[in-house]
Amino acid sequence: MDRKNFVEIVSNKTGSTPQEIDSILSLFFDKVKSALSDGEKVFISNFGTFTPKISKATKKFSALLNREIEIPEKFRISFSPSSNVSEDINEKFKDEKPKILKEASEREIEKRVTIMPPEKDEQIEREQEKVTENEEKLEKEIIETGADELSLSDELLEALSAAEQKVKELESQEKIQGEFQTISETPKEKEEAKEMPEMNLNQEKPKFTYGEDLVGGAPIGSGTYQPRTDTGVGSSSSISGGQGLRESSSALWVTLIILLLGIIGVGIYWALSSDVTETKTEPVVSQKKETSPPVVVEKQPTKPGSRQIIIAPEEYVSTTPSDTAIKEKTSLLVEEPKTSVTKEKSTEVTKPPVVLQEEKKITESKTPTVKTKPIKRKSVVSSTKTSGPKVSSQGDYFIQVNSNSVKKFADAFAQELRNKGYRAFVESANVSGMGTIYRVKVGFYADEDAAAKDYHSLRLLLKKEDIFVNRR
Amino acid sequence: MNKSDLIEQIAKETNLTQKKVGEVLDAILETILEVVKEKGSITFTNFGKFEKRIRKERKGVNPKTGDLILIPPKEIFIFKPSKNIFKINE
Repeated sequence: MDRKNFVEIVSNKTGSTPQEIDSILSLFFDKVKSALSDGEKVFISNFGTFTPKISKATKKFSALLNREIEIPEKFRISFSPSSNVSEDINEKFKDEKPKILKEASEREIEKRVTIMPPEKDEQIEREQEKVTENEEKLEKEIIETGADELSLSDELLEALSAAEQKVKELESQEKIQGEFQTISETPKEKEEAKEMPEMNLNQEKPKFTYGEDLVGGAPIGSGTYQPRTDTGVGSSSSISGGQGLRESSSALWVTLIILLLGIIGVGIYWALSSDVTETKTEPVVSQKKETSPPVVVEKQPTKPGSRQIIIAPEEYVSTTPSDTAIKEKTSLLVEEPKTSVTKEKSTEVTKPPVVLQEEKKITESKTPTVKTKPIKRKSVVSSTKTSGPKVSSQGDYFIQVNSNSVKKFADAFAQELRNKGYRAFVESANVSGMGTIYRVKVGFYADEDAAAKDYHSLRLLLKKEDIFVNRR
Repeated sequence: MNKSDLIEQIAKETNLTQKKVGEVLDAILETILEVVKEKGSITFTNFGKFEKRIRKERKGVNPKTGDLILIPPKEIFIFKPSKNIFKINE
């Protein structure tokens, strides 16, 4: 199209002369040029903007000339049409809209989320929940049932600590005496040693022997014995009971105890045959099992013959989730006080304390390392208890892992974390200017410390640094 | 520089009213668009060429959702300055 034709069209539209229009047109171009050459932008509404640009001078290697050429800086003009013009121009493909060829597949979401493959199952999560629930139940029950017993604990603990020291002193003396007497009383050892394996299995015969002791024994020892077992300080209480006996004892007591020590400690391990030793070692092993994690403790109450283990401190039983175990524990708590009243008669009921005392004497006499066992028990119990509330549903603290405007991603993220073993959930929030935002959180935690553990593990896992712990 | 600045400067030099210059300028721009729409391009010597081009359809990804999409073709308005655009100034 010629400029002449163009001017004619415009003159027809406006009614002004072609000369005027021609001069205006040429002036318009000149003004735009001059403005651009001055480095000024030219905005023309409903048409577009001309922007001047200067490309920097560069050096390039010319293969033709075989040397570097300096390319001078160049003045360029870029034109961007205004939105209504570009819409106006796009007549042909006006109605076409972008087609979705392929929706974002799970793989692509995974790529965006970038989480390591899951290791934990949902089953583990459920188990953890069960354990926490059971622990809460047990704690309540213990508070209800054992409130009276626990109230004594402070006094008893003081007494126990004092008693243990005395016992240690006495033991050192007794060991020396016991060695002498065992040599002299070898025939008795054999007789009673034969009974010992049966005792360990059936737990009846030694009770008679100890029952006799109790008959003659001082009421102080037996009286102090019961509450201590109730408070759950298992081993030390039994020792203190023995100590109480010794304090009040005559020569009879000393000889009887030495007999027991000699029989169990020296006689069976060194003097007697392998058959006896095999049976003998069983209870020791069972005791060791008690120290090992609470899973073993769960099994033991179910065994019919092993009442001795049920005497294990309350904390033990508290870790067991089964309701039957709780019932047994409570029934025992009720039964044990009765034994104090009816010491002589009840052969069945007095079984547990007897066996415990005897076995602990064995351990004391043999190895000093066994003494550390009760301490281990406590530590184990405490650790399991603290691990419980870590995952509890109650608490104010949570970890925010991600926030996303697309729910699909947020859900996928949360699911990945759940597969990983974290308690992830999605929370939607209305943010002004951004619409609804979906936040992926993990929680809740009772303490900030409990949250910190997962916080660090999550940071390592996700390799992200925009994770933070917050309080709701 | 705005359109109003342009009109002011043109009006000064042509001794025409700003209103008239404005009307004429709007008509010029309109016709440029119309001609480009109809015939595809219009060239002004020593200034440049306004033309219409078709941008082909292409594949892309929606950055918000991650969906793979087909972006439809589009007609775009282009200005190509002439080589002699600044020769007069020199």
